[in-house]
Amino acid sequence: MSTTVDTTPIARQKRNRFMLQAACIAVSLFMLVPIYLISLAALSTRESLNEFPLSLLPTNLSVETLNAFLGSTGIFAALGNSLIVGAGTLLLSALIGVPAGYALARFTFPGKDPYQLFLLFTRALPIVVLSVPLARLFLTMDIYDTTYAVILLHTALALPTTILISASVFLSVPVDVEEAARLFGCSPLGAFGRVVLPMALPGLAAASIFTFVMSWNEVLGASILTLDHRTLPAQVLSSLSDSPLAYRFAGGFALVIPSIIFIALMRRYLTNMWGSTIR
Amino acid sequence: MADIQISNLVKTYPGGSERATDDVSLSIRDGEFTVLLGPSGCGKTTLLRMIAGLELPDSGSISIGGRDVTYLPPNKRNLSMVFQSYAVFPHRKVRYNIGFGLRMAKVPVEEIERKVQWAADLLQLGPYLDRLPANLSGGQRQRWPWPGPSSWTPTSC
Ligand SMILES: Nc1ncnc2c1ncn2[C@@H]1O[C@H](COP(=O)(O)OP(=O)(O)OP(=O)(O)O)[C@@H](O)[C@H]1O
Ligand SMILES: [Mg+2]
Repeated sequence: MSTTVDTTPIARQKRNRFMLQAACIAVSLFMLVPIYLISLAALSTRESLNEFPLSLLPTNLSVETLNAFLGSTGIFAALGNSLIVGAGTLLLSALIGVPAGYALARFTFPGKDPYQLFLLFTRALPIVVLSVPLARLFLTMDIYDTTYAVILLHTALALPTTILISASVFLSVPVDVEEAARLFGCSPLGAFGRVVLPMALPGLAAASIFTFVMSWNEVLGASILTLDHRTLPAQVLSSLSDSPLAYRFAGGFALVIPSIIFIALMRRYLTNMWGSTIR
Repeated sequence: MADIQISNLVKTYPGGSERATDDVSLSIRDGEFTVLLGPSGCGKTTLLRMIAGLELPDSGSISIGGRDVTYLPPNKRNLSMVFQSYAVFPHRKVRYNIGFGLRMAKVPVEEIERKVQWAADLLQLGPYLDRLPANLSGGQRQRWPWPGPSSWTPTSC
């Protein structure tokens, strides 16, 4: 006599797994299709953009549009400015934000709760409201129209998230581990650098993605604070209305690619948790 | 020589109303095996943390081997302590974790390598030296050696 095996649970599990896969594919497509279309348009010939119906496959590839875009005045400089501003913002906000997050996580001090609330107020103000007085201030300080001015603005915008994310990251690093390092001869700074910081790195990588992408995409403040030293989005925006369609696609392409590269690089740190890799 | 002299140690945690340790005096001779026994919350952990330098007493003094260490930072005390939870560095291999205290004590590299191998053989952790702590079994983790500088050349434990 053989027993009949009830296979419904395993069938349900299979079905659930299939639906999860389908959902993942749907979300990925939602993200990827616009990027694909922009890349396609940026890499197609000018004429093929006017064809009807538009071909969705890369049949008419050429770098002519992109070359024209990159060759137009100010684009390379703007790309450089964007990279400088992004890296500068990353560095400055980490320099200020990571220690601040550590202090929030490890120490109690008077005014700690109001401080955390106050941090978020910078983000409550619209960028325009922040930028106009800043522009005045920077004019009197003689740093108007420099990448440095934009770095300062972007750092101010990024700090709340940097501080709050790194505080919660440091909260997840056990105090025990830090104390053990101290007992074995590390100075406070040594214990931070050798033990706490490496353990916090994946979370800090996440914060840095927010910071870089925010800085890379921010256009309003960068447009107000600069004239000749525009970042890429500000430069593209200022010449968008009077430029051909192909130029706009090429601009979009040039804007998207660097931040995708940055995210891909940081993803390695993000998903590489200690001893286990999220796949 | 590593006698421990504790006299009139008083500690109240900030915000606490009661003293965590109330005028504790104690002397432990070199090589002596001492057990602290008492009800939960009576201040055993607090006392040990003050000896290690992880908490600072409000008054009283601690000296180890004749040297006053009352307010000395933990990294200057040359002590070792096993934590109630396993404090391991999860981002570093087992080998690095075991050798950490020696590395901090600036022991030469070959010497560290030799001693780590010796401890690992003793605890049958040899094959796992190049793994991350997360990839050990529960029992393997319990055999975890925590060799600070002092467990190799004890001044006190
Ligand atoms: N970080 C702290 N802040 C405020 N009070 C504390 C802190 N740590 C301990 N206490 C208080 O100090 C007293 C002594 O605590 P301690 O941890 O030394 O007790 P213990 O003897 O180790 O107890 P157990 O056997 O439960 O581990 C307790 O009343 C405790 O509530
Ligand atoms: Mg205790």
